[in-house]
Amino acid sequence: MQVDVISLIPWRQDLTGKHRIEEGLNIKNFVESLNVGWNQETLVTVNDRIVDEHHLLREGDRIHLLLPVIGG
Amino acid sequence: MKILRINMSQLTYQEEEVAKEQLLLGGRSLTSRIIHDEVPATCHPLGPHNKLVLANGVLTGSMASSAERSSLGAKSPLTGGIKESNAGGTAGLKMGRLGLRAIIFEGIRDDFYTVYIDKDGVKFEKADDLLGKSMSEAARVLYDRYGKNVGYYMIGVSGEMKMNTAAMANADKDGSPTRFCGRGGMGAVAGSKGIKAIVFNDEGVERNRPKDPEMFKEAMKQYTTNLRENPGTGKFFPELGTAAMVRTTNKLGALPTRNFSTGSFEHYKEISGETLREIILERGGEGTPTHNCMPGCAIRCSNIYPDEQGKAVTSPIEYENIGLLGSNLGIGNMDQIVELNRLCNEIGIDTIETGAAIGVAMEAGLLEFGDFEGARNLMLEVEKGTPMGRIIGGGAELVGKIYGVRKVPTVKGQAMPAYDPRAIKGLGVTYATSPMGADHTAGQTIRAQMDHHSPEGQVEASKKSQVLNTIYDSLGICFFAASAVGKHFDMLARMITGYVGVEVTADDIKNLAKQTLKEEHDFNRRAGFTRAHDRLPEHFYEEVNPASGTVFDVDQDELFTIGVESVHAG
Repeated sequence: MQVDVISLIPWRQDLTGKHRIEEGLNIKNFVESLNVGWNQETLVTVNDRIVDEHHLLREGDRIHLLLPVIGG
Repeated sequence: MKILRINMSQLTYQEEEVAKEQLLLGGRSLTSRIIHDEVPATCHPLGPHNKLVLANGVLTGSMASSAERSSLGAKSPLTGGIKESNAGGTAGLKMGRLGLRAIIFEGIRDDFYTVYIDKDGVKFEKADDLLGKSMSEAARVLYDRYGKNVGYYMIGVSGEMKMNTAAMANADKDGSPTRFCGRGGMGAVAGSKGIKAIVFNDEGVERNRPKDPEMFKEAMKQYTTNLRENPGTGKFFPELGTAAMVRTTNKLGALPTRNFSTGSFEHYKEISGETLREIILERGGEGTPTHNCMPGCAIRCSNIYPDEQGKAVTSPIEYENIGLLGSNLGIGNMDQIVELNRLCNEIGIDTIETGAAIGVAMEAGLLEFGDFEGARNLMLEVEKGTPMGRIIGGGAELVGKIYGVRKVPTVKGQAMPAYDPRAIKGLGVTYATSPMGADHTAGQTIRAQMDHHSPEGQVEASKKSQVLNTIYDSLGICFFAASAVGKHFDMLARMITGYVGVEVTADDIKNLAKQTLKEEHDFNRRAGFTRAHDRLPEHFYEEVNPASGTVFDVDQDELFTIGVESVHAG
């Protein structure tokens, strides 16, 4: 199946686009397969909701990789 | 290590030695302990019974990276409750070298003095020639008089006029007076005591040395490695600063837009961290996208913004300032936001409170959203102290009351920072329950990989964050280092033990923070706060944030368990 990734990490724009994945993959494993550290290098939304690491991906999911910082 | 007690009415001082067990109190834990113990909770914030406490963090002066912060505490004229506001910069380092953990200012007076402190003691010098000047002009006078190497805290004209928005600033490592203890009107409290500036001259003083150099060095090494290797502290903050948040909050529907009427802004790209960096790099000159406000800070999240000729305009351009002075006012032009930020810095007013106050004025129809010139003119009125300027300088809640505006984004009288609480509900809980009023630094939850739009788990998230933030505020470590520290509180404990020579565990650090929160709530309870104050403004419960599609719907009874009444629960 296929998911859409939109990367807002400036130096990982290469990740933006469609990705083919196997069924049953959770979001944490998918993000780590992109060489992006889970809960370290990005905040992740799936279909505009922040999800936990066990969230199972589905066909056509839209994944945003946001920068995980805090304001000052 | 000493505490200096200064009576501003009589212009006298005395020194007190800090007991060994008290060495673990610093920054917020120390300011709040002193305010809790010594200030009558019902006193007038600008009256003779209030005290202003300037306290270094436990690790301030240790030369650990990002650990040079100092705190100001008092009863706040803005909230009517206890307040602590802290900043990086250089004053804490100089104050620490002089052997001072804290200074307690007592009394009031109508004229203004510079309090000059060096190794020989304290001198009080009339400050008439500093009055009425912009912060940068006044800083130049201080440097000409006392030399380029002094550190200082100073109020602006807003503090001289005792405005609720008045802040107190110290200099960054380049001598620019732009590191603000911005929140809660601490500048007004200083003004009421006749303090224009506090100058620290550490000439002829030895640098501080850790009591157990080996232990300190070992823990520091681990801490510094973590800072370097963590993506947040090693890459995100140095490259984009806190402005990196704009695209994230806009996506989550949390970027305050047009007086918090929605959480996404059509011009978000123009005010993003990426655009900020591009502008700074393109213009070059004195500008830099990566800058450390404290000597030796490895995170370097600050920046210097240049004009088209490359000349520095002001520093730093941060996320909160972009949110409150930009999208919240419907302004999507970086140069315009920076100009408003510069004015806040020169007048010495809190950017968050001022942006929110002008947002409420726009809601009232005094000027249109997006009217940069109108916003700028209002700030110039603040600087001049005209009746209109004093209304804006009184803060968002006051503007709302005077102009009959219902939608005012404040809690306990203090304006919300740049996160809509309907979209980041854990922060909504923090706004409602923190003893400080609406304050993102009192319990930041946005970094958590959790569903921020759901009401579930937000009270627990806020509770943990409020303890965590209190720890950093007390140690003098910038909260941005938190992602690198992670759960390694044992490492922090070794740094503290190695530096101050008092045995401390990770649990001790957490328990001390919990005790501080308890004392702060107790002060507020005695000042008259009840669960009625632990609420967001009504419209956040009832009107949907169109960008997130949510209202604030966290269970109020659960929320009360960590608010002012939690002090009864022990």
